[in-house]
Amino acid sequence: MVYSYLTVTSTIRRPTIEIIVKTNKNFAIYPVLIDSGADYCIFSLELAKSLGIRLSKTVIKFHGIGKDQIKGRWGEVDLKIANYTYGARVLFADISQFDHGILGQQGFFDHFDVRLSHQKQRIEIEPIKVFN
Amino acid sequence: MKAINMTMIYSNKNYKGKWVALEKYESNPRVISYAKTLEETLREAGQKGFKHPVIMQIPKKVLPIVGVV
Repeated sequence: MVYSYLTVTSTIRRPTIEIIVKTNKNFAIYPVLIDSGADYCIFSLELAKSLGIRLSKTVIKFHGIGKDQIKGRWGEVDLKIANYTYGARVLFADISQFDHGILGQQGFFDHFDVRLSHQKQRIEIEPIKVFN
Repeated sequence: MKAINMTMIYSNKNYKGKWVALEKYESNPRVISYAKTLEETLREAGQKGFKHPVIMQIPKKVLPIVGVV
C-alpha cells in the first residue's frame, strides 16, 4: 500500500498515514505518524475517551528526547491499516504537544515492512507474514 | 508523489491548540468542525451529518519532532 507524506509547514514533511482505530462499538479515522524510534504505538487519551476504550490501571511513564516524562495507560483496540485489521495494545496519553498519534515498533512495525522515501514523498507499507 | 498539503490547516490560527474534523485526509481538506475537545468537535461534525470524519489535533505551535519514546 502506498501513501503520501504530509506537509505540515513549508519546511516540515512527515510520514503520516490515516488509519482506523476500532472498538466493538465505534471507530475513528485518525492520521498517525510512522516513527521507527518509538517502542510502542501512542494515541491521544481523548481518543480513548471518545471511543470508550477501557484503559489499564497501570500507568506507564515514557519520554522522548526531552527530559519531561509523559504518563500513559494501555488500551486494546483494533487497527485497520491498508485493508488489514488486527488487534493491538496501544498507549493512550496526553500527546497534544506532538500533534499526531504515533505508530511504533510494537503494534505497527511488527506487522508491516515499511519503506520511506523522503525524496519521493512516498510511504510504502507491506504486511508481513503475521497476516498470512 | 505529491505530499498531502495541510499547511493551511496547521497555520490557521483558528485551529491552533484544537481538534479539527476533516471531510477527507487530502490536500487542503474541507474542515467540518473544530473545538478544544475531541468530544465537542465530533458532536458538531455529527450535527452536520459527518459521523466519522478524519480527526486531527493541531498543536498551538508546530515544532520539529525528534523521536518519541
